[in-house]
Amino acid sequence: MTDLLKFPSPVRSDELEAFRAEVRDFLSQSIYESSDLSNGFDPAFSKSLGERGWLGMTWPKEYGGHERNYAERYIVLEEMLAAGAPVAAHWIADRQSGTLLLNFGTEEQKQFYLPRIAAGTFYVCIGMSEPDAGSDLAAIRTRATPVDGGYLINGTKLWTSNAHRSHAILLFCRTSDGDGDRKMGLSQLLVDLETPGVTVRPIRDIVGESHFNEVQFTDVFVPSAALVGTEGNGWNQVMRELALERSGPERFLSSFFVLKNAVRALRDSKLPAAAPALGRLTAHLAVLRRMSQGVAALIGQGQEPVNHASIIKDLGSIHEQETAQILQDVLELDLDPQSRNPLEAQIARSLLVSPSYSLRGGTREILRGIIARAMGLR
Amino acid sequence: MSEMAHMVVDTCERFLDTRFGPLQDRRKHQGWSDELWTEIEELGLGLSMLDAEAGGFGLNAEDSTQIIRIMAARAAAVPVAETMATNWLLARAGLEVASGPATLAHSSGDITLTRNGNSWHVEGRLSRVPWGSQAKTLLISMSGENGISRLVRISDEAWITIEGQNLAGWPRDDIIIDANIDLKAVCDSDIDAQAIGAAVRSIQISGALDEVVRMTAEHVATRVQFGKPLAKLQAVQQSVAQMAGQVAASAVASGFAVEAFAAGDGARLKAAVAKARVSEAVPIVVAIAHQLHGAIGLCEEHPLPHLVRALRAWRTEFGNENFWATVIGEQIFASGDDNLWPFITSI
Repeated sequence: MTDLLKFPSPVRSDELEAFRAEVRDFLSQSIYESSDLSNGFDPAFSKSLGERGWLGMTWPKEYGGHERNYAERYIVLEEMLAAGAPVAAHWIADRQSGTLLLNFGTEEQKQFYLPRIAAGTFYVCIGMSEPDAGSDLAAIRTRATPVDGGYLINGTKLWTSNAHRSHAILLFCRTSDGDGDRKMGLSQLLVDLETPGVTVRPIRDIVGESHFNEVQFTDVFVPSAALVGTEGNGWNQVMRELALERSGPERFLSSFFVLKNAVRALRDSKLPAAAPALGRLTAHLAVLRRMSQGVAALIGQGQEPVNHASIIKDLGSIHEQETAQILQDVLELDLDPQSRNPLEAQIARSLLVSPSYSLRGGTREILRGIIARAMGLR
Repeated sequence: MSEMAHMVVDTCERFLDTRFGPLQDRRKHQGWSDELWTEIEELGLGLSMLDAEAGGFGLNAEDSTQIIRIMAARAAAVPVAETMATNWLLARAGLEVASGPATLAHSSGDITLTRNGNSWHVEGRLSRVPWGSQAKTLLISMSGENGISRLVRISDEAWITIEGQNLAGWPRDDIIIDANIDLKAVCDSDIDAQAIGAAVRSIQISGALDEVVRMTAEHVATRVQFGKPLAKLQAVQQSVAQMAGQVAASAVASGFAVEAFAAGDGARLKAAVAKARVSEAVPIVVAIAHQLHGAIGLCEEHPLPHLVRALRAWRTEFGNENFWATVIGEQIFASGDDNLWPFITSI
């Protein structure tokens, strides 16, 4: 249990800091709009990162990767997020889908998809949640019935971010009954979103944006080559994929753009509450970052720190959620989401979407259950 | 940890098992015990942050502060952490290291120092000095300009004590000084002793929080109600997980505190981050710990109240979370640079 509550100290070196300077130099050449992982979708930007070798960084060179270490990859990730760079297009493919293929894919799949993902030209969305299956992932009903030469898919996926502009969906589906165990008989298929029978319908959210989608599958045929990993082994594969999804710096930086943009207003306000509010949020960020660097170190050591990642995500989402509220209160704002003051509009948007931070990528209550299990309570 | 560090920590653990184990033993050590302090001196704990030449073990800060952590985890009512940190400061400043218990205090205008021929005249009153009534040596830090502090080393003949306590019942005494001291007892230094004090408290808080969560997890695993351990209740699991997150964050935050010892002029910011974060965690963890222990957690016979009292006291000593959050915020404002990210990555 004690190991769960300890994170390795960050690795520091002159080489890493020189690399950080290189990444910052690249980022300083553009100004970025407020973007987060849902609305910062920019194929040209993703391609430029691919050209610099900053996608697929840790993958083998034979698949288009660059065999760099996790500390370097971590630097790229956090600098991009802190700058508000538009990383949404490639994010999922680079963070989890590509690694999933590396771990479970066939040679053909690796040779085809990984170089394209590393080039920043192939985008994947996540097909896990359904109307009746959110936290209870094993309850999914999308069915991929084995047929001659492939699978026939019927079902509906929900909350699929950026399905409307991705190339493929990594579909979590049931390929056979589980023989009494719901977690057996599940599989993952990489489905081209242009396949006949796939319908993508946008869902407007609380701030009127539509990065969410419903993806409907009506008698969609995919060839056997679409299967990722082993048929029926999908549950284990997805669990490993979720660990990757929970382990990065995005788990506490969703509100950073707003905070960073608020520094000047906080200073100019000259209100007594401004310095301690900013200082407290900064202390939280510094500690969360250090924890996250520790997770990157554990991954670099070949571990899968699912429990450590759950702790960071839980704490990180609390920080992300309180940031907009604190800024609104300290700056004494009634918020107009259409305000011509960009900071006010950003705080308004952040405030309204912030409940999603403790829902997406692992509901808070589920994460806390994982932590409790790791502590021997379950 | 190095092999030497393991040896020192193991020796310290055995000492703690003997002296700060079950409460019955601890009641024997209510109040000051010269015998206990002699044992501490024989173990070399007071000098344990120093190089071998200076009488220490030659451990780095990460290893030597393990002693601070494990002493805090027992809520051991002895000024070992204060003596360790004070001797570290004295050695770094080139002042004479202390024998016997030592302590430190930051003066914000409470103390005046006037040159008096071949000596310094020190005058003033410091409030709530940790273990002031028992310390033989006191190090006072006085903030100067441009990051330079004046460090003043005082021996106990030079002060009188008015006793007081903190929430743990440990001495927090007012010190009244009106004395002439040797020129050699004063030096200017770039070391931020207030930051070092906060760093030490951060490490203590983290060590004690580790023990609180361990104790709580054990309690809920063994306490049976409604036919099953409390740990089987989802509400309990969620609370323990929340507590675990705060304790994990505090352990990581204390890593910044350890770095403060080697950080030069970066010490203040590292100490600020550490102390702000761990101080905030204290009320959260304490509330959950009490809630899950039930009434037994409020009995003096149980170890939890002793840890809680120490935690609540340490939370506000050398600056509470608000003080250090303000230090961080003001430093960001003073930099004139709105660019928050490089500020964070440089900590």
